[in-house]
Formats: sequence, structure tokens, C-alpha cells
Amino acid sequence: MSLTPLTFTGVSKYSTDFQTILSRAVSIANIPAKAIQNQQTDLVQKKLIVTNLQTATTGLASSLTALAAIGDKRGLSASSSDSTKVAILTSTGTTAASYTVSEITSVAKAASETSAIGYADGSSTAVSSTGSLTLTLGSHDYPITLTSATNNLAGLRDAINNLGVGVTASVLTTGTGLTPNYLSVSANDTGQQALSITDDPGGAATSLLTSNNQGANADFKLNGVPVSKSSNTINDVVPGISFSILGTTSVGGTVSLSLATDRTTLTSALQAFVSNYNSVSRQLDGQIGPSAGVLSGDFLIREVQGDLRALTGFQGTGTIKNFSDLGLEVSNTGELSLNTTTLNGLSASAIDSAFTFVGTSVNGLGSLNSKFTQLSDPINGLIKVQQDQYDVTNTRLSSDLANITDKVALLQTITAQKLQAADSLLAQLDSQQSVLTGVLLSVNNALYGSTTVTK
Amino acid sequence: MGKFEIALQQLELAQRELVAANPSDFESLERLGKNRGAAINAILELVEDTEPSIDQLERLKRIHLGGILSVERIRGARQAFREELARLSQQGQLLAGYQIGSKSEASSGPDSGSNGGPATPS
Repeated sequence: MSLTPLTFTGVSKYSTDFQTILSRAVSIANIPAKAIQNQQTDLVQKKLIVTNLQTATTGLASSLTALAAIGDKRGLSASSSDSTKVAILTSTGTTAASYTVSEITSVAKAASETSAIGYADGSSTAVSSTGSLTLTLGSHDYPITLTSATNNLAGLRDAINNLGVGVTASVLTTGTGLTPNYLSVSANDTGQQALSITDDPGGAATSLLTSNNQGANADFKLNGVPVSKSSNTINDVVPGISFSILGTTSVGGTVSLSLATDRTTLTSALQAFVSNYNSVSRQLDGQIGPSAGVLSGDFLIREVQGDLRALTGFQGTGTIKNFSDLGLEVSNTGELSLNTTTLNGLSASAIDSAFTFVGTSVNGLGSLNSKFTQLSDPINGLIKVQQDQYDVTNTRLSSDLANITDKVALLQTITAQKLQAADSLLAQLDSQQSVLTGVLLSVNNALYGSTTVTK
Repeated sequence: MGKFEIALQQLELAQRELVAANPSDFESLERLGKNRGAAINAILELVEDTEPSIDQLERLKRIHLGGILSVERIRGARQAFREELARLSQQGQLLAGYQIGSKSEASSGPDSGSNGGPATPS
């Protein structure tokens, strides 16, 4: 009798089936992780929404701050009739006024001289007969002593610069002639003042510099009163206005400086306010009502909603009492707009009242900016606190998800091992059954001479 | 009692132990299966020099049929593990895919695919 021997190779005939399971693309199953995934997706959406809300409220707070700044100055703006001669630098005045600048005969400039003669070599030709010199700047004399090693242009330049008295020296090289090197000395500040260098001041007292540019003051008249300033920046003559002298005037020429109410600054600031208000309002719209988003009912949404109502419901005490008086209109959909016809039609006294309505950083409409900075502050604002909480929750959920992932991986390994053990066992038993079949055939044949056997 | 009868009784004992064991306990079944395999090998060595009785033939047939039934029971148990592994594999793919998607979302916003693509389970 010859039968196939029992063989247990350990190779599972189900191994291909096993691989099929592992690589199969599957649809979403009902697993606990899905709930965590959904929560994380919601968190991402919430964070995006509050981040956009933060940007919008920051813009609204800024526009309220700008309105407060305009209200604080009563809308006054300084202007110059000829900004090529006199330019306005800053304006802080709160009272309307006008000034006339005339007879600008001089623009301030710094004193600047060069050596009267050239020197053959900048680093070796002697510049002083004794090594003793004096630098004169304005009413001050500064002694300079040069050694035999430093008695040259470079040495003198360094000695002057090392004094640190508001003068800068340098060596100029013309490249022309036998003595192409010159000393250049300039005052650091504008204004008329003496600038000279005297060699051997106790003896020959020879002047080393030219006397071509001893600086100049800005000379002009303000409302007919002569003014002479060492700087072209004039900030201590007219209250509330800082201006710069840029050029001289022709004979009889005048420049008018005025500090007057400028409606356009108010209009621009209100338009910016309207735009920023609507940005915030639109952010809220998506989270309110029947089709509200993931932040529906959130305290932050209610907070911002309340602050917007505080804005639109703000009441003044003068002629301009509310948004409508100022030309700010709220539509049925909550959209804010500026009616410029209403605003431009306001009388001078109404405009004055409008500035009172707009207020400052501590009163009036402008003072409400604090409500929005409390929300949008990037360090400790309510929105930042909320974002941080989202991050903490998200981190916790990620950790939960990682734990579930680890458990699933472990179970997979264990189950795969079970499956392989089952395959090995089945292969073993299949082989045994084949042997048994052979034995039955053999016995059956011996007894009955037939090969028929029950399978 | 002949050698063949002794071997046949040992095979019957091994068969009973195999049938009595938990069909999901593959480690125990592996050991019992080896005992059964050894008993079958003993029968195989004796069958050429023995004239078995009709009764012994019938007993061998019952062992053979019992083996078929055992194999089917074990296949059933294996199928349960196979389904469990498929379910775990799905979970692993989803979790790995979601974690890839989460990283992508963190850098590109919420519109990125949150379900991720097919992923190899870890």
C-alpha cells in the first residue's frame, strides 16, 4: 500500500485570502473612533470660524479707535497752501486756526567746510606746523594734539571724529594735481554756526579751513513776526501744528497754514467702520438662525451679537443722538450702510455734535472699542481663550484616537495569529483525512475487493 | 488484542479528544491534531500486514466522518476570526487614514479630506 505521507509545511492556503482582507478599501464602519473624528472635524471648523471672527472684531475695534481719534481732535486737520515751501508734519490742535508764513529767506542747512589747501599724501603729509590745533564749532573751542605719527590728514580726521562734538570729518581725494587730498568737515546739525580749525592757535594761528559755508538758519515770518530757527522742523512756534520749511519764498510770497474741520476724514472713518461692522455681522450670520453652523448658541456668538447691538443702539446727547442722525442706516438684514447725503447735509453745528457723538477713547461711540478689543486681543482676548480651549480638547481627542489605534493594531496582530494557527491546523487535519481516506480504501479493498469508500 | 485494534482504539481516543475540544482554541487543537496524526500514522504502518474486521472498517469510517465534521467546525470558528480581522482591518485603515487627514487639515484647513485615503493598518 502506498499513500501520501503527512506533511505540515506551515504554508497556509488561506494566506492570499488574508492579504485580501488587509488591502481591501472599505467604507466607514460603525466604530467608536468615528465619533472622535467628528468631534475633531467640528473643532477645526469652530477654530476657523473664531479665527475669522477675531480678524473681523480686530478690524472693527481699529475703526472705532480711528473714529475716537477723529472725535478727540474734533475732526480738525492741518493743511498748507504750498506744501513745496511749508509742509505739515503733525497736527494735534483741537481749535480751528490759520497762520501765514512769509518771507522765507533761508532754509536751514549745516555748516560744511574743506581744507584751504590740498595735501600730497593723506597719511604722511603734515597738516600742522606744531601738532597743536583748535576746532571751533559755534562758541566752543576743542583742542586737538597730533603726534609726529598722526600729523597728517587721516590723523586729523580721526582726531576730529573722536572728539564726538557733532562734527564729522573725512578725507576727500580729488585725484587731480600734486596735492589731491583735502579735509572735509561738516556739522551734524543744521543751523548757522562758526566752523573752523586753527593751526598753532597760540602762535601763528593759521586757519586750515575755507569759510564758504558756516551753516544757515531757517528764517521766515509767522503772521509778520520774524522767526529764525536752526532746524527746518518747526514744532514750537504754532500750537498744535508741526511743520517743515522746505524752500524760500519769492518776494511777497506767502504760505497759509490752517487748522480746520475736515468732513472727509469723518466720512472715510465712518465708511471704514461700516465695512468692518458688516464683516463682523456676516461672521455672525453664519452661526445664527435655522441654518446656523457649528457655533450655534455659543457664548462667544452671543457676546459679539450683544456688542454689535450696543453699537447700533448707542445714544448721544447732542443734535446727533443716534446712528440714523449721522447717516448710519441698518437694513432689515442687519447690514449697515452710510448715507453720505445725510452726512454731507449736516450743518456745521451738527457736525460738531457728530464729533461729540463719535467721542473719544473714553467716551462716546469710540469708547465702545474696548468691547471689541476684549474679544480680539491676541494674548488674553475671549476669542484667544476659546481658541486655546479648542486646542486642548483637540489634543485630548488625538490622544484618545491614538489609544484606540494602538488597541486596534494589537487586536489585529492577535487575530491574525489566530487565523494563521487555524490555517495550519486545517492543513494538518486535511492531510490526516487524506491519509485516512487511503487507509479506508486499502481496508475496503482487502475486505471486499472494491475501491469504493465513503468520503 | 491485536496491534491494529490497539492502534485503532488510540485513534478513536484521539478523535474523541479532538471533537471534545473548543473549536476556537486552535493552539490546543494543534496539539490534539498531532496526537491524532500520530495515531493515524500507527494505523497506516499496520494496515498492510493486518486483515481488519468489518467492524474495524466501520469504526475507521466513523473516525473519517468525525474528522470531516471536526474540520468543518474548525472552519466555522476560523470564519469568525476572519470576520473579526476584517473588521479590525477596516478600523485600522480608517484610523490611519484619518490621522493622515488630520495632519493635512492642520496645515491646509478643514476642506481637506478628513477620511483620508486607503492606508496600511499598523
